[in-house]
Amino acid sequence: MAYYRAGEVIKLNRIALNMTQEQLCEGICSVKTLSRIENGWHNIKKTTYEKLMEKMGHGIEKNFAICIGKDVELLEERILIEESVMKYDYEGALKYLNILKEKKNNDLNTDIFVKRMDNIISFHNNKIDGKEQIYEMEKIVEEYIPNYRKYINLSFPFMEQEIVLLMNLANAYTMESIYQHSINIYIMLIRSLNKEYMDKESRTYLKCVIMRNLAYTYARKDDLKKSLILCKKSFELAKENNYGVILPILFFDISWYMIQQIEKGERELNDLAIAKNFMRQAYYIAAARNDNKNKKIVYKYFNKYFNEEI
Amino acid sequence: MDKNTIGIILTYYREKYNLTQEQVCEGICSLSTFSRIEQGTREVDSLVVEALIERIGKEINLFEIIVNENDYLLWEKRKEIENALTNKKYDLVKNALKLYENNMPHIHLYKQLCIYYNILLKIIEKDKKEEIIENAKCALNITKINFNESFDKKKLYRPIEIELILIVLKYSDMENKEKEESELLNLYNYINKYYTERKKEIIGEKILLVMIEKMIYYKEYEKAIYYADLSISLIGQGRGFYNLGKIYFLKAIAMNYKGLVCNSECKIAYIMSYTVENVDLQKEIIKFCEEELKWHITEQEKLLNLIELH
Repeated sequence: MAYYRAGEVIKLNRIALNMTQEQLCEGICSVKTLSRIENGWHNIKKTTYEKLMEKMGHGIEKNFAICIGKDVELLEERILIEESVMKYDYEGALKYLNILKEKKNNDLNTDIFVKRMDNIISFHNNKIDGKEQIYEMEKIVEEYIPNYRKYINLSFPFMEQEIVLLMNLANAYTMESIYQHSINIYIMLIRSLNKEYMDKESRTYLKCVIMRNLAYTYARKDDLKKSLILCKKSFELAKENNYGVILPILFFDISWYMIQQIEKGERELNDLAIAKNFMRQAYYIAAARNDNKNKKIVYKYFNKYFNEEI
Repeated sequence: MDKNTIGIILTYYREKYNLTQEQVCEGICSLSTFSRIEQGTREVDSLVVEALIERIGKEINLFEIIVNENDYLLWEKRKEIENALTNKKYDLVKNALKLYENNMPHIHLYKQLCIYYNILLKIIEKDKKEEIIENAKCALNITKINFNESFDKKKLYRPIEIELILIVLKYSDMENKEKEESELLNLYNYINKYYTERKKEIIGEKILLVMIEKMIYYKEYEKAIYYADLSISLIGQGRGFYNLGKIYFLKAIAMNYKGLVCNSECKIAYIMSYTVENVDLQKEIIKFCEEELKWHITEQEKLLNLIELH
């Protein structure tokens, strides 16, 4: 979850809705106050914040803090599920998800979380196929953020859960080769995250993962040059912020994209040694982090492609 | 501004973990203020809120919270200082710290934080041990009045308090290995029980690193290997990778003393230190391998130095 900056959230929301300051503040506060709030010179009162957000179409539930009442109790379960998915442990995630399902109440945020995780876990456990995944995911997005297409060319202050949900939808599009849809979503999300309405820690982690996924999408579209540039950016962010968990995949991707470039004649044959070392690095980082799943994958692939031991 | 959210979070976890109000607010705010924060009838400074949430073992950005500009900027400044510290950009730390000191409210928690950051700088500049210990005790006293050198299991500690105790333990020459080991274990068990994922990983790693170094100093090599493995599995369960190079290298040193083969540990250590661009550590590993193992580690890995993404 994240830490949001009130003034920026209001401002970005208002611009995305194409409202003027006058239109938004009418009956709530003065234009001068709103302007000061948006620029961060005025400390906004909770009630004013709620009223402004409501006027912009955000109901109470999605209005401000997610963790109210029952939600707080479910936080620990949510963390366990998220951590398991992050480590590709879908069996573990399913176990925690079932516990969460038993405990949950009918509030929108938890409901969306459960549906989203259900979708991802079912897909990875081969319970549903790619087409079914997209169908289900579109339904969830329709229910939670029906208007997201309106913001495709704007910077909208999506909340963390909305970003993850849209990213999951884009991932599903990529897997089914619907590239333009997924690229549009990824770029929209990166544009939003470049704005400073969310705390940097949450922002950079999301950006790091989204850039890697966008790189993967470009690679499937045969635009390997773009993929490599994005991988490099993603690596810089990961390095700066101590996100080791993504590195084996990232280095494996880099190596694989370079190999493909060499095979297509877009890169010199000499660079094969560099690609090889990236893969070796992926292997050792996975080994260092006890990440046996990725370690095995890289090992197998390395032996097969280079015909030698790592 | 998020009066009731914070109140709900604090009350819920305090009751869940059977903690008293006195335990949570000790040294942070008065009991009556705390009661009013829980009931949501009082707005407080963001660092006070953060400190209270940390006492119950949670992190503020686990929750979705909307904050005002000033709180947001102070939070970002703190993150900037921490980030610059981990990335070893010390000039940046000094500048950011100065700016922070000029803008912070006059509340004791801010003072404690600034002393803590200054201690970290003193450690880097290799100041006298006595002065480091003196400063750490002084910072600790701000929220842990009458702190008497050892960890009290009945009390609650924030990450910064744990880290200050760790600094005192690390730099005092007790020459008493049983006592030092048990004190460090107390800290480790405490954070393992109370803290959430990310903080558990980051602070746990720091505690175990001190532990491994102490065990090597006392020639307890088996224990050093054990604690190295413990911290490797801790990081493996989390997200990070920064200190893996150092931990694997220390493990290799301990293994070498025990007459065990440690080439693969050295290799992992070398590649990890290469990944985080820690040149000093790389040199140290090369030297160790040549002198102790009569082995040129860079033979296979020398290509790594050629890696340039283009």
